[in-house]
Amino acid sequence: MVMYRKIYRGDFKCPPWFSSEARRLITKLLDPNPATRITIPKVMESSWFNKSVPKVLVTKAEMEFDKLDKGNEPETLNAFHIISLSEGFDLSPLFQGKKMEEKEELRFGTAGPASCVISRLEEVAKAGKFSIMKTETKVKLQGLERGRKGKLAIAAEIFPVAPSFLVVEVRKDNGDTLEYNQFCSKELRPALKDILWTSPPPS
Amino acid sequence: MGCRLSKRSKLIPGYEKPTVLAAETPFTVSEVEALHELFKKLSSSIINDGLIHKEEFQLALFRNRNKRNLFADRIFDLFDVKRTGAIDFGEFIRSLGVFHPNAPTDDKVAFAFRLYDLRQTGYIEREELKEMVLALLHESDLVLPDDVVEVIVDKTFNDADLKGDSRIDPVEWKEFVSKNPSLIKNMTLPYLKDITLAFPSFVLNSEVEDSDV
Repeated sequence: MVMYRKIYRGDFKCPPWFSSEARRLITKLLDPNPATRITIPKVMESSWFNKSVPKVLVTKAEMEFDKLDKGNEPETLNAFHIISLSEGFDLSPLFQGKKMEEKEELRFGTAGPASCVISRLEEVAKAGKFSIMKTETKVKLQGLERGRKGKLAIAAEIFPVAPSFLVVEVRKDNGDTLEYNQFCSKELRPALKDILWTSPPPS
Repeated sequence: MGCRLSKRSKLIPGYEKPTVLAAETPFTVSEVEALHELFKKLSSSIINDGLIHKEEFQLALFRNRNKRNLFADRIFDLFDVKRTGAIDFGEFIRSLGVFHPNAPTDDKVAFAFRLYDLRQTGYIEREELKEMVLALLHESDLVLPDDVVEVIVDKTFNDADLKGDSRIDPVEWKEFVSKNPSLIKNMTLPYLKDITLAFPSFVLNSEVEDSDV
């Protein structure tokens, strides 16, 4: 409780070996009043920050792009896995104040086979100038240029659910959500349209 | 009489002291107090009576008080341990405790079983399983052919129903989960560990002494 009260009052002491620039920055960061607290753009302009920061911040996802986990056999999705995807189980909105962003995952069924799905994704990669990494059941695409939040990266995973039916899950792995949504609607969905299973129209 | 009721217990039905709840769940006292702030917010969104009603739950989960969802209904019913039709503070904390990363796996396995036992018969029947799969497909944009749904339900059932009596009992379920641990992934909410960061204002209302934390 003592710690929480200190946080609330902004009551702290810097160790003596901290430089005066670091001290000044930290005082502005630990301002309990969000209206007067320093903002991220201002932090990035501060003298302490500019001393030793890489020119371009690379995210972990970008660095690990080529570490595609070739490991285990994919788990076959069973009925309980499918059920657990429900938004009724996702209690996170209880804890977050903001409006939910658009879903970042896309799932569809396909009669496959997996190689067909993969070659479609390869075509999308070539057309959109993405670099691609793949195994038999996983595909990762990474944009060559940096977008608003780094390079857009998409991960796709193929799950068998029945002897000749697959469920494919595509999600954003890195980058800006708006760019991801645009990619999905303009490039991904059209390319997958004819293999994506939809119910037959009522006769 | 001599004992003064804490101001809080008069206002919130089912209120239990944070120290008691912390002792019986994976939460710390500070986390219980932070969750109290959340509970106050959720329970006052439509009817300000210190209870979370079904519509308030739906409002919080879907931003739509009228949205119905089979699985949200099941969660609500399980949280409402005393079956009063609304969730009080004690029920809220104890049920959420099962979702904490540090909660015992057995508790999570048991909770998931009761979740899926739609008609509370003590078993998960094949019809219940199929009903849930269809409910999921109905709510999402994933579409599967009918025959594939049958194959999926059959295979899952055969893998889980070891006794072959057309229903899954808690022992078979536990065995099934131990072979497929990802089945209870949705029973853990990692951000419950950071709950004091999400609701820092609990410090203002804390009734707890430093020595109790």
